Amino acid sequence: MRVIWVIARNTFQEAIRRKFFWVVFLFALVAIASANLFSGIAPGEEKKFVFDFGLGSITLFGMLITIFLGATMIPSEVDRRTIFTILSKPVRRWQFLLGKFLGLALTTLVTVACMGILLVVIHSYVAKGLDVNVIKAVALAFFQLLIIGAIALAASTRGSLAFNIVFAVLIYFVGAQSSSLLALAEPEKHLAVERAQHEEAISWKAYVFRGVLKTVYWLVPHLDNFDVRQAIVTESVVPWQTVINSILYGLLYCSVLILVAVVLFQDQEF
Amino acid sequence: MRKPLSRVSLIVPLIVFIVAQGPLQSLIHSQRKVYKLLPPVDVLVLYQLMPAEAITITVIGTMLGGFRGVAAKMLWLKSDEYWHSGRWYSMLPIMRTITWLDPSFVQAWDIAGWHVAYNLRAEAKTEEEQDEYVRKGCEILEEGIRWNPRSWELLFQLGWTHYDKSGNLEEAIRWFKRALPYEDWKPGDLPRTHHMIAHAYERLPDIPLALKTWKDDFKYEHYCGANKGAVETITERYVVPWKLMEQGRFEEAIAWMDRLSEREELRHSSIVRHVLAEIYRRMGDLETAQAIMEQWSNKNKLDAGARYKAKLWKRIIERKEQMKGSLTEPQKQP
Amino acid sequence: MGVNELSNVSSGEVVVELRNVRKEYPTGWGGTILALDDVSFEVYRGEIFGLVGPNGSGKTTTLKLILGLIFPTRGEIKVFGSSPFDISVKNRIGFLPDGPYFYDFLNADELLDFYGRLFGYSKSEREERIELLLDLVGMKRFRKMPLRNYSKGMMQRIGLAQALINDPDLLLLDEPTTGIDPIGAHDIKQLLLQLRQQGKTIFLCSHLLADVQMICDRVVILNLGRVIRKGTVKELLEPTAVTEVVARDVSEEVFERVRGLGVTTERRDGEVVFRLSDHDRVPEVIDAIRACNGHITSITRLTETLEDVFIKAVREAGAPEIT
Repeated sequence: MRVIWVIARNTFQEAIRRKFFWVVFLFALVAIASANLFSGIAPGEEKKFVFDFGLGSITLFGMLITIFLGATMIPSEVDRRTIFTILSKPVRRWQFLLGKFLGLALTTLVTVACMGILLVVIHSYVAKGLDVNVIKAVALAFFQLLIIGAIALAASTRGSLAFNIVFAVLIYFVGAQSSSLLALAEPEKHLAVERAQHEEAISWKAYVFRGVLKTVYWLVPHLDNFDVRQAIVTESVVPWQTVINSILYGLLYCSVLILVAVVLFQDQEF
Repeated sequence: MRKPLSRVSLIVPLIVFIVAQGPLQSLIHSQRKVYKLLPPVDVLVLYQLMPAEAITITVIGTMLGGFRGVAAKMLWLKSDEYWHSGRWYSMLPIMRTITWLDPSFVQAWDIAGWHVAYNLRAEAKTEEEQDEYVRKGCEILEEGIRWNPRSWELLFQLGWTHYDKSGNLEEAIRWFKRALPYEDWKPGDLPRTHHMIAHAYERLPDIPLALKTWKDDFKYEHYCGANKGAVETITERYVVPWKLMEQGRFEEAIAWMDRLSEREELRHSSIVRHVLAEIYRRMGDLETAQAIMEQWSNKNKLDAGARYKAKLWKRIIERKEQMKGSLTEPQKQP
Repeated sequence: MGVNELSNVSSGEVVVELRNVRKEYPTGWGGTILALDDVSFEVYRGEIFGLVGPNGSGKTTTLKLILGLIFPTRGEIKVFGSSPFDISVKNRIGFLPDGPYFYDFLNADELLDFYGRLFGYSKSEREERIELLLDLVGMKRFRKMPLRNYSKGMMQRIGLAQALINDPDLLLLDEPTTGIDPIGAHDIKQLLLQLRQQGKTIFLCSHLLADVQMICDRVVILNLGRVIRKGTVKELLEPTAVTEVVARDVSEEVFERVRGLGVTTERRDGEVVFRLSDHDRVPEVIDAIRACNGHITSITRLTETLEDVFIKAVREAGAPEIT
């Protein structure tokens, strides 16, 4: 545990001493802070706009930071050969990887927390009151980013840097649409079409297509679990139970990813 | 020399994950459904509808994560461009995409419903097609209301579309009434809603309720004086025949109405025809009632209520005749 | 001549052992590249061991195998009698990679503190070690300077310091004096000799054969993944030793007679040079020269350098080019 923490701390330290990090981070803060200025394009909906734009900024900039840090972490250690000196110390490979992941999580947490606090302050000002939904949404955004970071980190134990970044972004895109994947795979459940009528029309190609879609659905992270913006739209309250379940899902997905990464990393040659 | 961990061992956590993920995910999914956290418009419908441009913007918007609302607003500008260049049919999928990206975008629902029920209807050739467009327009508005249940604009717009285009006055009254609690909009919206309820009652017709609604409207006196005039004319013209009708004195009521319809200032009055038709209907003479409405709707194209009633009653008459015919037909061998 | 007499500190205890090690790297297209083939050698406790070889001969591969960074295709590797993957072994190892590069966002203090934490040293222990090591590698002045501003030599010194953070029994060094000025290189060599005095085992990979010859006790020469020479420095150089006798006024008759003894001869500036690989014949040659009233100018015992031996060995083994 000590070794993991030492590496996590070092990773965090490295992240926050990077110019890249500060450029993106400050840009994000400026974007969130100025959300209220842009809200003019949606008259009468300033509250919603600030929330939408703010959460969007947190996701986008958080994703930039997390994917970039996650994807570069291991390759840069290998390229700079710093990993040689670390692994020739009494550090197990899984400890190294876990430490890196925790460091990444810590960086993401601090980043999201700073941006989130700013958003809550500005939203409270515009909405003339604190909306707990905003806090819940920010918390969920963190776990969404955590999954993306874990994917980038897991991929980076093997692939090249460019591949990892593209891969993580693609997964983000597909994952954010995962419920649509299911809808496409099971149209009769989601469309108001007569079931029988549909089954008649299904060819073997459609079966294959649906099979592939379903497989993809069960493999990609269901990132839309973490999207609660609809609740702000319908002005309903997001129940804590949903928040907790989604977080559980996020932790489960991250654990599996890290486990896969550890196994892949275990017999990696440097 | 040994390799520390076999990759085959990965199967175990993956199986655990897939097994654990299933119930958890369905739990989350059902919760999200209940609490309306799922994306609103069915993605399948969307994929069939989306033009290339909309796909591009949607993809970008989604990739930007939270900037869906911003992407919707960008598309909104795009649809405006379509509007001005007369590409009316291309606007629809764009609007659909906008409402998918940002279901809270009330204006988009509003305009989309109006566009379909008014503009596209006007372009339609046959009457069936026209009705279909009106029905679609109302559906869009209803969907918008599901996502924005407290939007006065959408509720009023749906009521208005029923009043002015579909002619289903009961529906119109239902939606206008639902719009009533949300008075915190622009000044004048509430009396406007009230007036529309009264107008709809006049044509439904339900004279006592129309009168009551107009009288209730007195508390908004500061805004509009129309209610006083309405109360006066209704009392003068329709209260008496309505009472006669309710007492079953249909002939006297009809005679009263006939005198009214000969008045010069009432030659173009819809209310007179609606009330007259209602008296015939209650009398049991649906054919005459239908004929009055049919005649009136041909004369006054803007009275959607008359057209609606004419059609509805025509169907009822036809149905009755069919049933009669089948009853009088000789029974076939079992 | 160097200090290449066999170290009497060496106890005969084997610290690193490679037996019939073969290492193939996958090329990514289903094929493999052979990096090491049937390599066997031992490193004994308390010696400075040199692994030399041209580029691509497998030096770094060997080091990585000993550190457990890569896995052998065949054969066995033992470090302190255990597998290189045994984590407890790492507590007794210090490693300096070739062209070391460390977290450049840290300064020397922070870097050494980080490595110290990995070993679980307490704060006071770390402070004490860091103080000592910075002094040892002469980097005290630069301890607060971010590593990104370091020169190559400074990096090398700080690399040595991190390799020594755990007071290791076995020090593995990849090209420790490359890129360092002569004074710095001298300091490092002195430091290594001093560490040997303390009973440490040092495993050295280097191109700089003069340095290796100077400080190493035993040497293995690798070429194309194979061991082509191994032994103590003395063992490698001794066969090449000759005694050179230079004389003036040597008569033709004596000159021919000595040449007849199988001695290489050469005339140089009016002097005659005799080179004998058979040292026992030296008195005989001296007697002959004296007998004809010749004057002996000098008698020198010469050996080839390690570099000569290396080049010869590699050429014999058929290496393409030494770069």
